[in-house]
Amino acid sequence: MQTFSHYLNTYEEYGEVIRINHPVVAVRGLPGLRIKEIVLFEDGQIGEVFTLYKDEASVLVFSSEPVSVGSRLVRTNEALQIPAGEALLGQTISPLGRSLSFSTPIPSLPDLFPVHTVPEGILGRKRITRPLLTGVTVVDMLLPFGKGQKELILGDRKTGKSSFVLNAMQEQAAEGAIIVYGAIGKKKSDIALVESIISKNKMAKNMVIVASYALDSPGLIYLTPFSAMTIAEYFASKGSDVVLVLDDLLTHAKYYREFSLIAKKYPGRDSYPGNIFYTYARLLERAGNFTHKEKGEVAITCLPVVETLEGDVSDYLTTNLMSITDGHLFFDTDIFYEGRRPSINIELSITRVGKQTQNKLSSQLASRISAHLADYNRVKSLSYFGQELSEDAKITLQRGEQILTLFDQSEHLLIPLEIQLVMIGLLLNGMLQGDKEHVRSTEKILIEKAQEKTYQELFASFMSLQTIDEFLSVIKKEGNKLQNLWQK
Amino acid sequence: MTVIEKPPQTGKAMPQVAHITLAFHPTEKQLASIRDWFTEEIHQPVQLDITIDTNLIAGAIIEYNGKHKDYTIAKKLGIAE
Repeated sequence: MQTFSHYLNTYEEYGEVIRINHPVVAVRGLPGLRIKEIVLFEDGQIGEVFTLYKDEASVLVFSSEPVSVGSRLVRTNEALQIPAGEALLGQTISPLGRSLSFSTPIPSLPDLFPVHTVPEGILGRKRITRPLLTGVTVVDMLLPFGKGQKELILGDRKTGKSSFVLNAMQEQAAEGAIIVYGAIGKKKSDIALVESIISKNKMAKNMVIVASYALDSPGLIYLTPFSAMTIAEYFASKGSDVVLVLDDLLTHAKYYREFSLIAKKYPGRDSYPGNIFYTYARLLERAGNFTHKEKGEVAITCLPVVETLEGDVSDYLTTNLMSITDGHLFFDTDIFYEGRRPSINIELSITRVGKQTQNKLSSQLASRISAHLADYNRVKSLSYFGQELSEDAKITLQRGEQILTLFDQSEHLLIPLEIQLVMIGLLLNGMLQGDKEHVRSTEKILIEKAQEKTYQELFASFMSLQTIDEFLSVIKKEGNKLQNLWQK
Repeated sequence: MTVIEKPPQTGKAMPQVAHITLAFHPTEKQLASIRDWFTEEIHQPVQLDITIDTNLIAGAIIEYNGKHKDYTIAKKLGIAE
């Protein structure tokens, strides 16, 4: 960024602030101004042109310090750009690319990247074929993600959305992906909590946090997901798979609505501006699976989080985002209070491209499990009437309970895919007892044993099996060996 | 088609002001000729806001209606700021 007088002499135009409705200021002058152009104020603050009228313009300011009426500004003929580079890994930065932690300053990065870009066209994209594992059994089996998918994370506050997202981030960081966490208008304490979890799990070298605080200017909060996406695009262009978490987009939409109304944009449904759908489509379409010269393909997987109110998934913004994304996970309060973790409502959750990335065995097991769960739900709703149950119905109920117990998973516990499969194999063979303790201890023993080479080979051999019957017979054969393990 | 209307203006429209920065104190005659030049170019009367800055050496900076033009020797010599 150059100085005020440089821009004044280069473009020979100036403007004056005539009205202020923070964070939007009305300016007059600057005849050549364009939409989304960056303007520089006399005191060094910057703003972005938000609306153009016939003889005035409104500018969104990014600082929470006020500008004064009559202060001058110049145009820069540039769109907003932020610095990006490898040095950002392990850092917490503001949406304008400045470090937010005093202890670790960022070295100056020479390369600048535009915050608002046009999403890649169809020719630059590839079919999503690689699975994205989260380490959460219910998701990896029944609602699988693919690398490059956009999956909305829905749920009321305090239903375990963040723990799930952190689990997925941890699993992906272990796989070597770069994680970009966009914290939008969060409390400082919330961001500090995420930072502490990250450093505890040693994910920092794969992480960038792009954060704006609730006390920041709404202009800056608005920029956060766009900046986070730019950082994600940078790492993708360098050949890494990226997982981008945007936490959360409802807060973002509320701030956007606030200053759109202040700037006198015409309100649409729920008072959101008319371009709210476009805003998020333009943002989320920048995620996906792209062709890459050296790596063949790189993916930006986007997990936008939306906080629902009282489980209302038919809200205007939520339904907008559902139609932009490739599915959603719904975290249900009722399930949460039943004590099931993660509290994902399987019937109300959807994944649109993840299933095509599952291997043959997993997808067969998943459809078997879904069928059992559907039976279980049907029988369960009938069993409320208190009538005598047939033997068949009792077995269905018991199996359903077992499946739900298997899907119950404590926070911060990551279960590798092989062990998820073995557990389901044991369950379908009737080799797991129903009680929670037994399931948990079996899981624990298997995770420990998976570190040993002999078991690694054994588990890896399961993955290459093609049919479910083959798998179940192998599990039956090997099962005795495995059963010995937990009897010790 | 939607037409974005201009937000309502508060108060009267301000008079047009031209900011001129000179390197010397102009005489009455020089001021009159500057005023006449503006009237001829813009076809309406303007108020002149004159600032003196001897660092400009010679020439003038003219600012009017969002346009900024620097015709000074200081700029030509590259010593302006």
